[in-house]
Amino acid sequence: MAWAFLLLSLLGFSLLFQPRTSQAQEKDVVLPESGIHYPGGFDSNTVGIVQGRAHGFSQPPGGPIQFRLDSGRETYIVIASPSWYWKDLGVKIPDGTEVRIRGSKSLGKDGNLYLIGQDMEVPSTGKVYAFRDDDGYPLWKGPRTGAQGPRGGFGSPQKGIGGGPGGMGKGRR
Amino acid sequence: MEKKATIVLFLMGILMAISLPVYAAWETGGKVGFDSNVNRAINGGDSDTYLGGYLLYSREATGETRLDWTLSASMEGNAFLKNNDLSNACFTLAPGITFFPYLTWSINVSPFVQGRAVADSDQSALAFGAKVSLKQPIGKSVYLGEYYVYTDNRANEEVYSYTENTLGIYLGINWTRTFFSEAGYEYSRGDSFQTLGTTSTTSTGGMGMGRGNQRRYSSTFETVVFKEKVDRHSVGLTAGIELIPSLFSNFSYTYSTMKGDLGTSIDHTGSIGLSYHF
Repeated sequence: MAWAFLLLSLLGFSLLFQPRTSQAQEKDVVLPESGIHYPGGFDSNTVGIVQGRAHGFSQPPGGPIQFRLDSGRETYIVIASPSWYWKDLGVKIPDGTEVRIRGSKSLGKDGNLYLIGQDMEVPSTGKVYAFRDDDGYPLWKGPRTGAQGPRGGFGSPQKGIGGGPGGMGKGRR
Repeated sequence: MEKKATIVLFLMGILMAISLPVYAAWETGGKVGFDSNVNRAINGGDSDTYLGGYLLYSREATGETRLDWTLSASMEGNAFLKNNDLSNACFTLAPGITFFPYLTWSINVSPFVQGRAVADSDQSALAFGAKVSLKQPIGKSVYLGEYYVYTDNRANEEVYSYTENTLGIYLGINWTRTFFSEAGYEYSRGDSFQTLGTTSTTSTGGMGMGRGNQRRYSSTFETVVFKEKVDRHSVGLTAGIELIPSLFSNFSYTYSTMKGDLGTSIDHTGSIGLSYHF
């Protein structure tokens, strides 16, 4: 009995530190050219830092801000964030600006290299713009409430504080 | 009339749910709960344990646009083990709008309607209201939330009807990628039923008398139930863990005091549950 309890405790403790490699979920959209799942295609196993010059800022309809990053050896297409979040960050960099991007690398179905941006540093100004947290969770989705993200929201019968219409009190029957 | 409205709302919710294939998810789960004072007695109180199950459909704001819509529709059932008459089933529908005013701050406004059928049909009710909630991150893994809820609950018997205004605040911490906890405080002002309990010795026991529909004998509680204005203060803790992807466990505990003319009732509630997200 004691062994079973100990094993269950160890299992429970290990679950607290369970790694998550990919954010991909069924509610992602698939970006048409690259086939990359957005915003959940971030894979922490492929995170790297690439420095180069940024060119060709664009925003495809209904998609995130994208731009080319020429590192000298390779060219990446950086997938950043929705335009409203980009605007709130106050990013104002002209074409050709030297930037350092941390992000998840991926090969698109169109043969291009993609970098799903986590944060971007502009060495000339020292400014750092964050798009995702350490786990790759998109910051534009608002604060991650609960380990499972912003889920179990209004009216969730399982959610505790602030969950149901009556919040903690859950009404008075 | 209320039964018809409940059925219509239920069907509307199901239709809306199955017609919205994107950015939406289902969640189902079960829980075991404890309530130390189911009769809201100011002197002691009857405790009970219940088993609950639910099915939830939700559509959250994606954050891809600054303004987005949300929807939550849930069905829930709770079976009380001792006080069978308190067993209930309810349906909640809550469409809403989320606005991101600046970076990671968010505001959600959501009207709701809830139909509840209770074995003690006097308590069956249709409720309307609205909730405004705000969320802000504090650092990388801490967040703060505030909410205001207005509820107008119309029960079959007036004594169980209430309107209330609720304000709440909570602080959450994502300890790891899979484990979080929240602590919060809630204040509400509104109507509520209360009872004197079975062995009342309070000197204010007669203050609720003579108010027409404001009191009624309840066969469920086997005592007279009073309706009055109360101030409720609650503090609570919630912790949750993702056991495996899509499977979650939650624990929550709330301590509440409810003060009215009759006196103050104290309540401890807690639950532990398991949820599956799909």
